[in-house]
Amino acid sequence: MIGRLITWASMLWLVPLMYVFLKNETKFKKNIVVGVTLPYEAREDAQVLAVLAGYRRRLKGVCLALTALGLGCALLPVSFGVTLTIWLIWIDLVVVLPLVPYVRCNRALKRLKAERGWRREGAGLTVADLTAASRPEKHLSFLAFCLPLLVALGPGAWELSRGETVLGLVQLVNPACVVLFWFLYRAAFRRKAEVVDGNEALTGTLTRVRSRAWRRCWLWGAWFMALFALALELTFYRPLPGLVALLVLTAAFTAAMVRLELRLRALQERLTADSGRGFYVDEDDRWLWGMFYCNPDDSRLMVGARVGMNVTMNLARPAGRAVIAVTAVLLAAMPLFGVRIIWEERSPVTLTLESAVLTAAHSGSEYVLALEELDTAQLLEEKPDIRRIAGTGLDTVQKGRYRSEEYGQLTVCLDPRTGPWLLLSDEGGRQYLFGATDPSQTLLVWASLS
Amino acid sequence: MLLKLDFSGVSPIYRQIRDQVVLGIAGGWLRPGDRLPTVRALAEESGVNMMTVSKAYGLLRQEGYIRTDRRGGTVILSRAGERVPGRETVDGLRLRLGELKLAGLDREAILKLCGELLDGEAEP
Repeated sequence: MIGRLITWASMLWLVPLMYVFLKNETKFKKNIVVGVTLPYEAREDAQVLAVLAGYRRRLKGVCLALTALGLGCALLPVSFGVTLTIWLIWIDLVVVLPLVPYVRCNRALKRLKAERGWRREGAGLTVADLTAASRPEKHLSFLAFCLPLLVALGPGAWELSRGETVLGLVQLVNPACVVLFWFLYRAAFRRKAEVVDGNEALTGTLTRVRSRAWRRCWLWGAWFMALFALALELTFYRPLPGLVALLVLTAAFTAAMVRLELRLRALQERLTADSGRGFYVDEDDRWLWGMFYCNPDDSRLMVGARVGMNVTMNLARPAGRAVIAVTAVLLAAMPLFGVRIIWEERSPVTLTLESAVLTAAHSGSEYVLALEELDTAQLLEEKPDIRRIAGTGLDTVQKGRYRSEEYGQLTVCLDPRTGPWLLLSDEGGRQYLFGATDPSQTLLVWASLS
Repeated sequence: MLLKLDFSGVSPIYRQIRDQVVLGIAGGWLRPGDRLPTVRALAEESGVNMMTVSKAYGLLRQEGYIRTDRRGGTVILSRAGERVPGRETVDGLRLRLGELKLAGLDREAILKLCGELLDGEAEP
């Protein structure tokens, strides 16, 4: 029950987040509203305002419905696998459904734009700022990422130094992420100037504020990974305080990122509040539904999003189409992971002893121990308190690498609902904890071993 | 200064870049000594191929509008003292004047249009 509620609570905030960002699109930034470029006069136009009001209303309705659906599903008394499947389908819906009113609004505004003749001569031109492009590029040096990298490396190095290879390797993911963030900071940054109209000073300021937000995003991300490594280390030895630290850290980082993006958008709104009167850039023809960039004349694979600091793919490039397609397939296929978990939940743990080989098996995983290597064996009526290091931990099965205060590291394959359990050790000192779903199998193996 | 490139136009992109830099110099938007972006930076800025930008710069260099060196980058050259337009320029002008005549403009109208264009050349 608690696990189910935590699962839902960890993602319910996604709906208000989508609502805030999509509602924010109704504010004119760089002459763009809901993905459509309009002149200054359109900002007070009654029809435009009515379309935007309708969009906000529909968006609110969709988001409230999704929240209600999420809260309702959180209370369903079903297994973790079923919860996970519903939860993943719900996440897909949260990502897709709020975009429906967005696309409808985008199309309505484009129709209105055509009817009113707001498509100015020169729309569709590619505009480049020579002055901005001739300014030297300024980047954060890798040194700025070195301190978080060192902090992130600490726990992993410590675990490896004391022979905890699995924990060490798990912890090394964090410094790898710091390096990845530095790489993305450099490689994914689009230096294109933020040209909105002929005002060069405005272009310079907009470009600067976006570049600053981008820099902060990745540097804060690097520090997040460093602190994440420390909190994760805490979970290995003090699970509850560690989990709380992880949750607080993740919530704080998410809040900081949302604030960074919203502040940048607010700046873009304020700085371009007077734009759109004379010449202004209009690239609507290259943005499908105002959100997907598709320009065969652009040789770049990645381009900056029109508002905020994000980057997006050019769908006119094969690699861009491939990335978007893979992302869409992954999103659509997410619920299959839940189905896999249901299958795992419903598969029994079996324990067999054949040809002097003991095999504990569960849904494709096998843990084999030859009797000639067996050193000691005990039958436990009570399952020891074990904590997962790597592997599966469900109500119906626990398998993989676990740790116990009493016995140290264990290779586990058991059904926690049914005892007894076999505690085995081999000549190499490795310990195993096995227990079949059908207790008679465990008892039969124990009898043979005895 | 803004470059406005029309990918659906008949004029090739390298030519559009070249023409707009020339108009920028003539209009005072680009002054002698001003630095142009590197080929890579302008390609990144405009989304056009680096070869296209390189071709435009090559043409501008050949015509004496810009100079490129390793340390200083690409800079606008001073053309003060060059009073005689090249043959290609004169031929081009003759062609355009002919087109205006055929469009029905008389001498006065053509001169008036030329004056307006010269006065408004600050808008490249």
